[in-house]
Amino acid sequence: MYFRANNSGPLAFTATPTPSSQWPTYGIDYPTWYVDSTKVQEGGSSYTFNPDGKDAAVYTIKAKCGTSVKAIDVYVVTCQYQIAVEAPSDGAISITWYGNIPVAFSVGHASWRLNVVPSNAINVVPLKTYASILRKNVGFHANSQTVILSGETLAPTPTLHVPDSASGKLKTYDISLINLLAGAAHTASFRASPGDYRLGTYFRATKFIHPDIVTLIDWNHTSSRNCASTAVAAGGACGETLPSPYGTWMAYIGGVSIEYRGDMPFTLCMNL
Amino acid sequence: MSFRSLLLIIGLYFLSFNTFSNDIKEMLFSSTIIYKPVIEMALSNNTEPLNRQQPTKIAPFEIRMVITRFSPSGEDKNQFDSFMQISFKEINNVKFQVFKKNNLVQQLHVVRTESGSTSITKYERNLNSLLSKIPKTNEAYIAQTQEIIASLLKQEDFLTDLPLGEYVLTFELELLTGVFIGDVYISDYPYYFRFCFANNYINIALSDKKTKALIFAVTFGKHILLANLFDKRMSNGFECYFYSNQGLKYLTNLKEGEQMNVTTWNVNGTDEKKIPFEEWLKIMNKGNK
Repeated sequence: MYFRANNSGPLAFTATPTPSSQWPTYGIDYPTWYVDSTKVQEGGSSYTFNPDGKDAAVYTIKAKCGTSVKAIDVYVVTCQYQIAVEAPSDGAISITWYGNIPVAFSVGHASWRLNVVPSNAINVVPLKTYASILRKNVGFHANSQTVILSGETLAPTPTLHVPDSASGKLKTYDISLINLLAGAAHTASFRASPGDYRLGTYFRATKFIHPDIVTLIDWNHTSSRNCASTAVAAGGACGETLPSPYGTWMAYIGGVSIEYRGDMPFTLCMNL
Repeated sequence: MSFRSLLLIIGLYFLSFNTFSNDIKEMLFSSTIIYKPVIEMALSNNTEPLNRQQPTKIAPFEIRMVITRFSPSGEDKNQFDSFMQISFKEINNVKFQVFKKNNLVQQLHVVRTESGSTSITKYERNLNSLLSKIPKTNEAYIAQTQEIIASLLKQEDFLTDLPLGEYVLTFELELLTGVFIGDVYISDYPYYFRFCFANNYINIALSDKKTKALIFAVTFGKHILLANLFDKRMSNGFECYFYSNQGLKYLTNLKEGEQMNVTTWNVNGTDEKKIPFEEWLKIMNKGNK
């Protein structure tokens, strides 16, 4: 069983007669070579399969001699790193209100997905090792400080981030199998030990209640480590250089002044 | 400055300017142009390679800005009513000639001298072009949108409202690949200016030095997304959101500290509604997840 990454070279297969060292001759040249049910070559101990230009799928290479058949499955796979970024359409941050009191701030969400086509390729070596995280949307969440896969239930329910659906702005990067494996190893390691979540380097929310300015949130971190940062880092592990998610954003939203600095889906979304 | 840095700078400013056929470029906000040489200087002095994730923090530095009068040509004298020149003492090969009319910058000429030759890049503000995508169904709506945008542009032109003289500008910059962030403190000026110039969006704001209250902010990408403007007492002003055709979507006013009802329009600028502020917050919540 072989995997071939995109744009890889041809694969040569050799069939060996046994027990004799000679192929039988009964009026036709043996062995007869097939790809799935299509005869591709008559005679010759070797057949070369070229995956270039072929759709991502499983191809069964068969060498037939009389009633004897030997087959091997070749997986031609497409490997992709996909990033989905959802940012509030009117700006970088939106607010959930309880009456006119802000109770939660949403900076949007960024998630990533390591995609493999065909889907059943994840059940065989070497992708089998990462089957649990491949073809799933992966995102780092604020409240639970965990790495969530699509379909998983969050506890506690996120208020800062949307669930990991591939919504918003989607960008796909075609990557090699080697880079997909590197990205999968990175993602698996990150899921096992997510570390601390840090929304941004600076976040200040104030409300002007005449004549005073009431501070709702005011904190600093040395760096961000949030959904946008980690989605970009996963892209980096896959060998892709994504735009910077770092930026600042200042505005009034519903009478609340927001000043934010750090990695954020809005910057990423605008620059993708 | 590396070739890469130059490309980034060029990429940064494509947002604001489209070239007219007569070599006058379109300008929306003026500060992005006036601060450009300062960012270029910071980039050329920076020895660290820029990163996409971690910002390179530039140690705070001062630039002396000089605002003087200049004598326009006869034609310009008739077309505009106020003229001034802005230059930086530390950047002696660039100066800005500002042409104002009705208290709004109408044209900005960047005069650059290099190797003994002088080139002039002209920028012009064209509100009609900015508002051209709004359906012509409601003249009052278009006029109100124009009035709001003009007030935002006027506030953003604050550098050109400073009295003639010399000012010390203190820049605190963070530079990344494709993103330039800065805080600018101006001597004898009660507000500080903040900006984030990214490849495809710009966010700029003015805040009170003492109270840190945000009195003005604009976010724009291909068009102005949202903006707000308040007076220095934080008692009067507005918060507004725009459709992608640049027409007003929501407008909520603050009058003498009291939050007024919110005015909403559909994308055609019709179906005007007044809704209580609290109701509007519920509408805003619908987009929240």
